[in-house]
Amino acid sequence: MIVQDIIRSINAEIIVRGGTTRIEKIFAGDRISDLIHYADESTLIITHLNHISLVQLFQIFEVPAICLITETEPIQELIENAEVKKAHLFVSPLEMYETCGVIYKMFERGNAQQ
Amino acid sequence: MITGSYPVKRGDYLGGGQVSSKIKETLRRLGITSEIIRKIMIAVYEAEMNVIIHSYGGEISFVIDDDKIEITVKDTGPGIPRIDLAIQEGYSTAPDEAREMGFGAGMGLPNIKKNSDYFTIHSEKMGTLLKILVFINSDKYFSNIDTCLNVESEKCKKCLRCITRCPTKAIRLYKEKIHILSHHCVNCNECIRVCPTKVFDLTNYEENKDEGKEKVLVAPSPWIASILFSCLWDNFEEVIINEKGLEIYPLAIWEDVLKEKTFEYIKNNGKIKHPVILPVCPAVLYWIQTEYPSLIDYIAPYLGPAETAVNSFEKQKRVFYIPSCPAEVCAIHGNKNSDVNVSFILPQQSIEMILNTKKRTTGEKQIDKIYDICVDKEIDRKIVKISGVEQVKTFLESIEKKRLMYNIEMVELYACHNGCFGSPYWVYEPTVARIIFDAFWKEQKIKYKENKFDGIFRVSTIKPRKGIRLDEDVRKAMMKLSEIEKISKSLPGYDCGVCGAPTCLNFAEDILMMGENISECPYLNIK
Repeated sequence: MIVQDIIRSINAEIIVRGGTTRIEKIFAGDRISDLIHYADESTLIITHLNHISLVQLFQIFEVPAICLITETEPIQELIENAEVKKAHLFVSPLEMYETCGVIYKMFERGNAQQ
Repeated sequence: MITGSYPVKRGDYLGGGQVSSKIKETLRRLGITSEIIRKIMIAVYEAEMNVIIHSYGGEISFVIDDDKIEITVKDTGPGIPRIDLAIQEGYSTAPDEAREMGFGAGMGLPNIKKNSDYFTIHSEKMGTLLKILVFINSDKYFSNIDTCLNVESEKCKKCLRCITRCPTKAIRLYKEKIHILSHHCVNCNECIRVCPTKVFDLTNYEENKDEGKEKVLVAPSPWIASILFSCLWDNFEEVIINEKGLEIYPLAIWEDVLKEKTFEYIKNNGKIKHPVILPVCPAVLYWIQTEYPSLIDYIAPYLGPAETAVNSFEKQKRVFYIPSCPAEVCAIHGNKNSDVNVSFILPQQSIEMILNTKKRTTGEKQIDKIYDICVDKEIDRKIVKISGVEQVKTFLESIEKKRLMYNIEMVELYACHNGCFGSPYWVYEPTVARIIFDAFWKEQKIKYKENKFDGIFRVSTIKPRKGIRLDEDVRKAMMKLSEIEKISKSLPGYDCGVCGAPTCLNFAEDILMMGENISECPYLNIK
């Protein structure tokens, strides 16, 4: 599934638009240790965190996309790093549970079609 | 070899991850696979954030060589009061400001542990020292144990005692030459003990001899016992300090520390597997890694006494150690910090040292003074000691097959009878030597308690050992296995050892894997 499909499905606000990236895993959580454990080049991270600590997900773990939750305004460092790394940064209008639910359904449909 | 070192500032959340990024860039330039880089990055990033969040600041350095990267994280305090809790998932002492940023989940050390192949941590008020080792070559995921045996095949009289006696069947005698199968050898003393012509001996490692440094000698208990049989301990110590400038520290200090730490660990960890195996004998640990990997979880998570001892001194000191077996040499080499300067005094040299020093002391012997104390020696009921390869083998098999019929809290397993006292290098009867030493130590240990040495935690550093692989390709390996069985059936099955292998099955394996000739079997020739 490509990131753009996910963004459309949750009607997210795009802060930084990255390249066309295939997402194979999605992980939602608010603890950095958990996030870095799952983060890699094909993982979409969904989180409430809007701190400098997230920058390292782009920098070190090469995450291609981060989705923040419920109309959060991302901090400047995060935006800059997403731009440098050509990664996606977007904000979901939905709560984390709902965001995950919508994306999960999309994944299921995608797998069924395949 | 590539090295680097970077400072890490206290509370620098903005700069957090910069050191990890720099190390990552270096690894990438070297062409290390992304899977390995990811492992290293998780470990280094967690370590870096720990320094930022919990310490007064510190430094992260790394050494990359052909097959591994070693990362050292050093801070200047205030130390981790309870390492046993800190390595448990979910335990955290992080401040609120860190938690708001998503840190402080109590996963730092557990994540480091999960993502490193070797991990040791040592902490005191003055600071914490963390060592992380990741093998760059994935083949090394399994433990790679060196063989610290020196073999002189020309001395061999072909008595075959070593071949039949070796507990892991690691010795072969083909074409007049002794071969040690390095993936099987556990560095115990059995071949040294049974060989009548001294074919086997310890390998000595030459280190930089920095004569300017202060010298300390970590003295194993059997060596001290040998002194007690010869002269007065105080006189001996005085002569050694005055003439050789050597300060002596009995290894028993760290043996006691290990026991205390392990008791504490058992008390604080309800789920720990029993009986807890104390890592006192490195040969037994190698044996567990080689033949009983399912028992690795039973081993107490501390470095053994010898490894802890050599790592306990500042790098300004030159540490001398007298090994009682090749396994101790390997264990010290495998676990010593890179800045520790260790030299080995081989047992033969150490005995000469006693004889030479004895001449300069008065005629009285320590053994005469401590004989009375031996009579009412306390028996330690909490720790069961099992020694000798046969007994240890039976005990390990009993735990593995869940057939242990009695409850034991903690167990000390030694490959040699009566522990290191039974090493073939020590001349006095091991049972007597142990009793004499125990009596001596009971009287003397208060003197050494002043030097508050600590145990060194070892988490998940013990990995199963990679055994012989018939082939990387499972299908080919299966074919080779059936071929070995076929060859084995054509052999008589007497396991006589005359061909040079301990059993007919081992010989069949060697015919296929090492190209040995089936005609070496004497019984086939008779037919």
